[in-house]
Amino acid sequence: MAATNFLYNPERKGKKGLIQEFVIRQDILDTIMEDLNTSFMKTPEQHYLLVGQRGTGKTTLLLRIAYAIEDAPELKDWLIPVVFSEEQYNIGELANLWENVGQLLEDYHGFAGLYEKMERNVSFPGYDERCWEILESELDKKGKKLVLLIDNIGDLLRKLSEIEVKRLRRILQTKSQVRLIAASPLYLESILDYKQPLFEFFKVLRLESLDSKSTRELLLKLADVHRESDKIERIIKESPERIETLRILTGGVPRTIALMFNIFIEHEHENSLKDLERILDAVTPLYKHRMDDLPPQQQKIVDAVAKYWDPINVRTLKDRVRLEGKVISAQLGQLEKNQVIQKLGTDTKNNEYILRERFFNIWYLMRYGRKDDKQRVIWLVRFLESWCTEAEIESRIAQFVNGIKSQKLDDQSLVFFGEVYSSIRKLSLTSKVLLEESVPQQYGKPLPFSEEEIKNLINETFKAKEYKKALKWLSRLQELTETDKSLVFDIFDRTGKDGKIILDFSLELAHTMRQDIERRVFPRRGMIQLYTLLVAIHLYERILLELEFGRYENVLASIKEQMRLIGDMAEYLVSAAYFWNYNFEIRLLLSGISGLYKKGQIYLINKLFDEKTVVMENKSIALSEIFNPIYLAINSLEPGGKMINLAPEKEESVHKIRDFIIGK
Amino acid sequence: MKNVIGTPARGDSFFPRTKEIRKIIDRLVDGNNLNIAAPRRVGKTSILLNLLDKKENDFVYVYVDTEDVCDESDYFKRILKEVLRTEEVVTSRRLKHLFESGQRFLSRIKGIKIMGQGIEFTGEGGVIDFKEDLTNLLSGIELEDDKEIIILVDEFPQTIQNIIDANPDNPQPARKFLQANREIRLNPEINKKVKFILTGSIGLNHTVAQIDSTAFINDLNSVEISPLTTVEAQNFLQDLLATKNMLIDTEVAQYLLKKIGWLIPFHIQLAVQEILSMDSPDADIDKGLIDRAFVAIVERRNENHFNHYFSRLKRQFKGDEFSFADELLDIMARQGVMTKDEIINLSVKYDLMQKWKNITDILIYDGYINNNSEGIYQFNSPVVRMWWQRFICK
Repeated sequence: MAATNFLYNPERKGKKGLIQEFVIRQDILDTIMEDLNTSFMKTPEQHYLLVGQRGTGKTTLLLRIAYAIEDAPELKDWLIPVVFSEEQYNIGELANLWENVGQLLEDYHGFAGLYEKMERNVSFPGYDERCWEILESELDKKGKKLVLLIDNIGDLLRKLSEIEVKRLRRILQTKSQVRLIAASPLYLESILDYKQPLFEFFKVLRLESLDSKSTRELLLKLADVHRESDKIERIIKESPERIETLRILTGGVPRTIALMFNIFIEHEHENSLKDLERILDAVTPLYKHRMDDLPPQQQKIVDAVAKYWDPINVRTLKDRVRLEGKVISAQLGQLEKNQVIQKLGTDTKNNEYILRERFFNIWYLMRYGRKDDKQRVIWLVRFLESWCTEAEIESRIAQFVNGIKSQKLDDQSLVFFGEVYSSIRKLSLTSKVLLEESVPQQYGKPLPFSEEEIKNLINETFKAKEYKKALKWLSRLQELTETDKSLVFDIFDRTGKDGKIILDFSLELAHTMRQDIERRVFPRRGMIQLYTLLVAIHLYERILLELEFGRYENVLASIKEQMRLIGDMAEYLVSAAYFWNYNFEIRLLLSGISGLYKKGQIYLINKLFDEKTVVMENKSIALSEIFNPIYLAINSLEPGGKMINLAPEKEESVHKIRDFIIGK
Repeated sequence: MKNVIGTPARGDSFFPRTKEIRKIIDRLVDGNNLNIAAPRRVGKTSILLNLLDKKENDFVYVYVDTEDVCDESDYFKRILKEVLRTEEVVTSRRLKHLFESGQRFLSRIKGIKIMGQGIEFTGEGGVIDFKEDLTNLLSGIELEDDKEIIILVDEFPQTIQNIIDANPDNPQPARKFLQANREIRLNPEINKKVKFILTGSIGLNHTVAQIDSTAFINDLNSVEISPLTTVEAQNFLQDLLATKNMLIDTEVAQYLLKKIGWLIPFHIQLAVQEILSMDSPDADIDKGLIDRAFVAIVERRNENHFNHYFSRLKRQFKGDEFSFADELLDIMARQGVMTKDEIINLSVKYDLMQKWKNITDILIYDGYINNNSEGIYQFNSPVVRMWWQRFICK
């Protein structure tokens, strides 16, 4: 975790740590150091501007240069590196820059009284000029020269007036006491026009995305720091394509590579997420500012591209942003020019587009992706899918589940990684089951299981006498066959004395279905079938008990409840005809009615149809209509009742029902 | 010789511009104050600094950059201070003696004191007329061997522009400034021992023309700085590559220089930078590599070297004048050339028939275009044209 702390604050790493871990950008370091070592600064020397996306290593490089100067035998006695970090809140004008230098020289390099000398002139006009002259004079007296290493120079320049920038330019161009190595992110044009002349005479060194070789070097170094060298060396040797995939996924940006690596290596999920959040918080002001600066149409396009994560073409964008194709193309051109978007050529004439800074994309997803939507975590899903083997993913999931069970994970980590793992395609069945069983329902989403997988799981859990689990898997089926329903009865038989399992599970199912309905999602038919069957069984249990004790009114109530239940469920099956497929459920219902009949309670039975209506397809339909065959059968059993003329197929059904009731 | 990009070349990094230096020295010797006229990046500052470093012709050179100066008082103060910091002035016993003996001009100076080791500027914080002090100093100054002083003022036109900008709708301060400078230059006491060389990245003539003050610079002798000759350019190229132990075949070198076209050192340096970044140490430089390097000169990574062409345009011209200049360059970048008639035609579109010549003169002076062939205008530099096509053309 320590290493991740410094992903955003490399200066906190300490000199030794930074030097030890410095592995990429060696070529740029060498170029600059060669120049420094062969320059005597008798006349103004070449200044440098390091340009690269965020996370490409500019800050680290500036610090490394400073340390190299400190350690260089030819330089350390006369050349003083002065590092200005990204945040320079106390620099609001050019004079402050020199004051800062003065303070540093006084505090660390024996320039006693320098800052006070400057301060004495604070009330005079041309104060910054004076500060520089004092600095220049003191440097000359001591035979010293300065290298200013200024990070994020755009921010500093924004605070200076036009004249101050010109003054700085003049000093850099004419004075040999100072040279500047500055760093800037990609967007030089964000620096106002009049400041551009400052950079005309800079040598620009670009920190490009890492190539494959540098990516390997970086990973090996990271592995070394985390004592995971064996693992990475094995990956490099046995599956080098994973390195390339990582490189492409991260855009070859060192910080993003290091972040992904840390997530991969880090076994404590909570720590990875905390580290990630920390980095995201640090970059938020910057990235938000970048988004705010874009015109609305471009914001919309960036939003769509970001949420897609993978390369996207104009046609797909069109569907998502609902703008004309040519408008999108024009805006993409502008975004590409401003280096927000990168165009990727394809084999066809349709180009694809991604956000150039992959970490910006990650930030956007994490901050603006919907909380319960897999798009928020798609970046990490892609990484894990491409980087980890199946075994590694299983292992990570197992660790995650352990974390849940031992309550070591906070809610945030639970939600986040629950989303991540449940979004991974091609999970092994073991992993899927682990996640399904361990991630609390409110945090996770149902994972996709094939019907075959579910059937296997039903059999396994049934054999293992894990009946509740078996019921749970049954509820995942699209539709219950009669064999499946038999299994339910089996479970009932085996657990009948403790009817709690059936009842409890039916309540759970009811809750789930209600949630589905609230979310306007149609509950699975299999789930409805199972629910109906379970309640029917439960009610049947009750009916038998009440019959035994002659509590016929209770029996009636239970049968009505069954009928209501079946009628309600029938609503979701669109047509009343379906409900005759409720083979077991109807038989249970009829068993109850038959019980009452055998106890001579025929008038009571007739009262079943006092419940007049069920609402189906927004229409009120009488129970007597839904259960028409039962209704007719009961009518015919009343004293003086007779069979009315029916269509032959219906007559047959009514006869069968009648026979069932009277126990024929 | 190091390949120093963009910064004025000093010392060993400066490629000898013998012809130009000779021209300047001759005219100084003839008693002229000079205005060095040349577009951006031709090497004006490098030449001035070379004079300073080499102490050509045994003159005493004082280099002053006044880009950030925006008022007259500060300007003269800056020059005064730089003169007083000059080694020959600081160490001059003759001058010190003159001060101590109360020489008539020097004794009038208020912002200077004779200290133990020499003469020091003490004008900070006080209310001093720096123009008067400078006039008195330059009038009274005498150095060993009667050495003449050459004051090199870089970005003089920019200073004028700063003063104009600081006083919108009132050209008087800028005129007064020009007048004061002319007075000093033509002061007989000063003129016999001090000369001025003025230069800058924006044209002096058209800066001054804005405020109808060309009369105040009519004493200046204009020296034009040309691009390198083909032979000079070839030598320069060889020297740059030699620092990296690389050689280039003459034919290939000529191929490259032909592509660059306008042979200013800066563009040659950029080309070398790209060649070096592309090449593997053992490979020969061939035309294929040249082609790739040439295209790479205008890659986005070098945008800081070219952006000023467009940003300068936006600052120089406003409203319709900008639109005209922008479209003119756009067409020229695409077509390659424009005729005079086409330009006039375009000027009608923007209702600038009376001004098109002035605008194109500015573009010529600033190095964007030339009309070397009668009636035909084109980009000076194929490199700049390529950049324009790539990043500015609509």
